[in-house]
Amino acid sequence: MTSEEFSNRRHVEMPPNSARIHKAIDDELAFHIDERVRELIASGVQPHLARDRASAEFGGLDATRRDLQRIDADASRRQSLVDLVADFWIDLRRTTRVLSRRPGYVIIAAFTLALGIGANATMFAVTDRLLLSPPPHIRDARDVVHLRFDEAQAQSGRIIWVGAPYPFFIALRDAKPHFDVAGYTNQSMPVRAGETHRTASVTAVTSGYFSLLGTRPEMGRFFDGDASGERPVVISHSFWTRDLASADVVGTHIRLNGERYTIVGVAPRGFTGAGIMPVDAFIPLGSSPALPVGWQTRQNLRMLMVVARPHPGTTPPTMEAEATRLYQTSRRELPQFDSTARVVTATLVPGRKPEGEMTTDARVTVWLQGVSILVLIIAIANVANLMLLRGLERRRETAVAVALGVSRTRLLRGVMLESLLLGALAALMAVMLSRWSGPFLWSLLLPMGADVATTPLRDSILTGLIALGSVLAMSAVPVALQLRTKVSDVLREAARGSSTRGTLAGDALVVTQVACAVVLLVGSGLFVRSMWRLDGLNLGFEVNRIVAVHIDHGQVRDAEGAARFLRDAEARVRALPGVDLVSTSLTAPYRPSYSPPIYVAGHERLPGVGPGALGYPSFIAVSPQFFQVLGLTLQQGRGFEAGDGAAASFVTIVDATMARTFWPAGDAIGRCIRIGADTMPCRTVVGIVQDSKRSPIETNHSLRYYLPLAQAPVSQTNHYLFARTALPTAALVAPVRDAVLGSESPSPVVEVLPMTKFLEPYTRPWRLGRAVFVAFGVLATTIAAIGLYGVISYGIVQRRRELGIRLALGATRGAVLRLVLGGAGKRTVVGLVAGSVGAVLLGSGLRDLLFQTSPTDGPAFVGSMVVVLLATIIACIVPVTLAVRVDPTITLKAE
Amino acid sequence: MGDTGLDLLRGTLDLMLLKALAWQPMHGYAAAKWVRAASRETIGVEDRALYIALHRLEARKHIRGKWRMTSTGRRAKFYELTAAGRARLKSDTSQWDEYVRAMSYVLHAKPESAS
Repeated sequence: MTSEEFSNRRHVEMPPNSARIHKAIDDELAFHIDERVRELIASGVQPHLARDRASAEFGGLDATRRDLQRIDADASRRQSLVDLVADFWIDLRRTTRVLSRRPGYVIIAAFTLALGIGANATMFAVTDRLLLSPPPHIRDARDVVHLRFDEAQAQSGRIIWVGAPYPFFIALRDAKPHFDVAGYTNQSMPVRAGETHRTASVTAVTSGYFSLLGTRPEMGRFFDGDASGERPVVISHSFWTRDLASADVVGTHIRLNGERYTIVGVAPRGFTGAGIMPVDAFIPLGSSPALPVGWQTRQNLRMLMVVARPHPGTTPPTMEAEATRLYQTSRRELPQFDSTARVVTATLVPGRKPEGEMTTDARVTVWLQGVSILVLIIAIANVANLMLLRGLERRRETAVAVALGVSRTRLLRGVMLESLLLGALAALMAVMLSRWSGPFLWSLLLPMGADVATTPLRDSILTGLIALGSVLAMSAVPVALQLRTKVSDVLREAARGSSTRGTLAGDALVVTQVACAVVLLVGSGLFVRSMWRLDGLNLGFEVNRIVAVHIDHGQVRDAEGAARFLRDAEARVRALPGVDLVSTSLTAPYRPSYSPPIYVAGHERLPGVGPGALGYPSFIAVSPQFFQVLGLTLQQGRGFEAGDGAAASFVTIVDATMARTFWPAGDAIGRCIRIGADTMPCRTVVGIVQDSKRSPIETNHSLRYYLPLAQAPVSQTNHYLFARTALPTAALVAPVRDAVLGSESPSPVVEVLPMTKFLEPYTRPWRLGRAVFVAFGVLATTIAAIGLYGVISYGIVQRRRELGIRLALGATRGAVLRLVLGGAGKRTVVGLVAGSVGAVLLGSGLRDLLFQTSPTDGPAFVGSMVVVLLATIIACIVPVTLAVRVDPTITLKAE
Repeated sequence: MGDTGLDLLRGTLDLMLLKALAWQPMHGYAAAKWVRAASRETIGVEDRALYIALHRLEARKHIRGKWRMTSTGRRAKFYELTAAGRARLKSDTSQWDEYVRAMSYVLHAKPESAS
């Protein structure tokens, strides 16, 4: 016997266990004694004495037995370990060899799986950042809370204010409550640093802000105190790397709103303070050049976000109670004092609004996470299917191996190893895929963009875990099949080659894939339809024909200088070829606007005003051409004229909804609104203008009113300019920018863009949903088609003999075609039905995210089914062509 | 007795058993008899030591045990040399020869040649 044969025998023999070892030793020693007894008797010893003598001669039979047992047990343990490793290597080599012979199979399986795994790992990182984790670089961030102010409103029910008036913050801090407090306010202002000249988002913070958050600077130091003497600034990591050329920036200067600031430190990468929106720079509150007049004393200027960290042992309810008491005390003297007002705490976890509900972005993200899981399921089903088909191909081989005594554990190990190898390959590909797609997805999904501090180790572990889970899931079906394979059955049927059990499992997998693909495609259909509806929404404003300009002077010019610059810029833009009309305004539709409280005689409480109703009335201060430029029709009265200046009598134009809501009798013209307080001057309604949408994603009209630019109750150094053109707006962006900038120095920060861009922040969730659902839906359909292709081809190969006989017996090719297609058709139909049911069930959860589209939208369902059907037909073409070409003589001869 | 002595003795028994099995596969009882006979009845191996040595050699894969029928029709565990055992027998034998030669030089040395 050669040593090679011997080593093969090992796999057939059962591994020795302790009982076997003991038995062998007993037998061996018994044989020895028996032999000796035989010899003693032969030499004349009395038989009844011979056995005792033999035992005595041996000396310590029991001790020997114990020693031998120990030696053999040790050896057997060592041996089984060696065997295990050796077997593993043999299996690994064999599996690698088998797989390398099927590169197509390996690539398809691993790539499908990699897509599923990669999508999940990437999406999980997003979900984690958006929903589960508080902003980074905050010590014990789950303890830190925002304080919010829940208060009754004179005109519109309760409201939760996110900001606090500065005087209350000081009162709170000076009362030394059982928690630390700090405040901040987000501002945008022009920044100049080297080549950079743009609008920066700046967070102005009170003293104690950085120490409360417990953040450490990446470079330099943080500042403390609202020192207004020196002007220190801490810049964000992204501002440093993107806008500043130098590596050593500490001690250098930047200009914010024209003021010179000294960089004292750089925040760690990804740090956004207590919020999640990107921040370019942090400055002391007292130093901020962009604070409203009287900010330190005004009781109604809620500009400060308050963060609090409880002292050890303090719970949120205690904090709320303590803060509420102080809040009430500080506001008791005010005319609008509300005795039911209370302070509530809100987590820093960004996926939730202060009230605790999820933001739209967060909800879309949850859906996308679900969608990526669906893609993974399809991928797993597909690979399991491919493995199953390979298992069926090798059924006979397997059965022979089992009959020859190869243990089932060993065979199962082969299956597991194959899926492990595929899984490992897929995980590697997934890591590469997410390296490439991760930043892209992040920039789509996260408001802070791709500037996310990544944790490669955690991400890799996550990818590994998902891969491992997928491996277990996808080997379940082939393993179950292996376990249930009866040797005799297989050997008997092998020659004839049809096996219902295996294909039944395969059918189930194909149905799963088709169903998942339908669900995803319906989802994409719903989002596509939502986008159509959104695009088709009549906003009132004709945004498509307008180039919009935002001009921000910061403190470079005063309000008068800014107004002069605006007039000059308007003239320059009007002179441009292609520009039909130009107008200017303070604030713009779909940009932050002013909604001061307004007072209308005859209304104690304004009808329709408040959350859930028509919202709050807001104004836009405009130049006379505004309505013409934006395409709003004047319905009654007059428009603004050049004569409506600062010194003329105050006038206003309201939109139709506002006119109808506040003056239902239809006599709005000549009536009066007062802004801010009922003691303010009357602004007479001189016209009624066509309605416009409050936001591009709501069906409600706004309560919007317009003031002449010169009569705005606020003075600002930033304005909008709108140029109407018949040309494509993109072509005008550059000339308009040049015209606006002119030659006057210093130049303001200017943002020029087609006005349709104003809508993008609103429609982001739908565009996002559409993009990802469509991508995943197409992916899923492709994978499902591959799965179907595999099953059908396999079925045809298996039934080649049967088809051959049918053809030989005179069946037409059409009949064979029907036979083959019938099978595929049945699976597809079952999958379509299952998928539709699933889509209906899941769709109801999607309802809030859709825009004017029912979750059971007919066209979306029909469209998805047609797509899946087409995909399955394409998947069938090749194998079916094969089936029809079956040559009876060749097939039968092969038998 | 020092360590060297023990090693020597154990090594000696191993070597004798390897030599015995080099002739043909045999069971423990036969190996004991063979050693006694081959040493002209001068070395009697203790049974207990013999079996422990056999099992250790087996654990080290110098010999391998297999159950076979004896000529008298009984099942017995026969040991045979493995390739590794054969190699060890060869190297140990030449080592042993050298050792014996050296010992005999030492033990038969004459006083004058030592000075």
